[in-house]
Amino acid sequence: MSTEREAALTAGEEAALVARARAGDRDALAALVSSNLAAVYGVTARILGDRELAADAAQDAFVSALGALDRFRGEASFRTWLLRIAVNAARTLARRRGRRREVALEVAADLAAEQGDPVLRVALGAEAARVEQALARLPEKQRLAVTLRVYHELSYGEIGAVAGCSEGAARVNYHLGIKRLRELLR
Amino acid sequence: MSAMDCETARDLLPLLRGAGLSARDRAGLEAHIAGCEGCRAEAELLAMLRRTPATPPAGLVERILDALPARRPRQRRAVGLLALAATLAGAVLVGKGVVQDLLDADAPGGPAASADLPAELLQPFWPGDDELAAGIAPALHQLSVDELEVLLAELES
Repeated sequence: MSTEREAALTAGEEAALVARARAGDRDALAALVSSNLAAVYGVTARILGDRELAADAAQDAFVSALGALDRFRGEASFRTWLLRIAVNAARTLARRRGRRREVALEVAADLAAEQGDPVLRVALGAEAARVEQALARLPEKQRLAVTLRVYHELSYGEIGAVAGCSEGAARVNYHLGIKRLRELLR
Repeated sequence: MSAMDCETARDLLPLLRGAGLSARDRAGLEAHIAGCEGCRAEAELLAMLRRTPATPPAGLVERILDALPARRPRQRRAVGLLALAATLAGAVLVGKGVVQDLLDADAPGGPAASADLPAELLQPFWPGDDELAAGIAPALHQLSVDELEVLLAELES
């Protein structure tokens, strides 16, 4: 299975797209959305635990970020800046809509439905449900660190920039999350 | 090449399947996993997690692009039509100030662009997490300076 990180833009490609997007180039805007959607949605989905809310939060994040490109100074990567906005958008939406769902099974149901082999469908569906339940039980900081590291291969420095914590704290949150998942999924 | 320790291996495990590892670290990590039951189990755990990605719903890219505040041509057309209607009616229904406001909102970096970004979206929400690093996981601080520098170099590469 390929990861979203593999499709991530190089720093040069990203900078060129941001410059074109600032000038109003719709193709550049579309490329920035396409190349970052999996990571942005991954973050909002893991925070909110609800597919529709996650899509709303992802949209909020892109609209906010791309509408304020002039504020992006390039001190971090655009991707990191965008993910930081996505995290805050998800948390803002969570506050507005009430508590997040305790268990998110929609992702598991989608994954199972995609499988043609009935036996594989049942097995993967059950596994996905366990994974989603386990992830949902992690404290949000740990869940976010695990999501950004495992699914999107961000460095601890990048995770810290996204989460608004130090690199060391991001690393500890990741390891704490993995240890907890090992207990929950064994 | 010195053998990779478990702490470093577990830091690098999430990068094993992507392009973020050097050939040397990949070889070292694979050799470590082959001989370490605990790290092999963690690699299997990460593989299980990756089989359950959060996949964006179909059509979300288009929905986002439609929602982007790039209605500039429409705004310009609206201003033009309003001005024309005002002229034809012989009444000054659209004053210079109103037109100027719309044009300002249309300009890159103008009021519309900044108004779209609530300040709360850019505020940090987890300040002061360093105590985690200091207290909860002391084993992470037992790495030598050299090991930390190697790890940081790889993480930042």
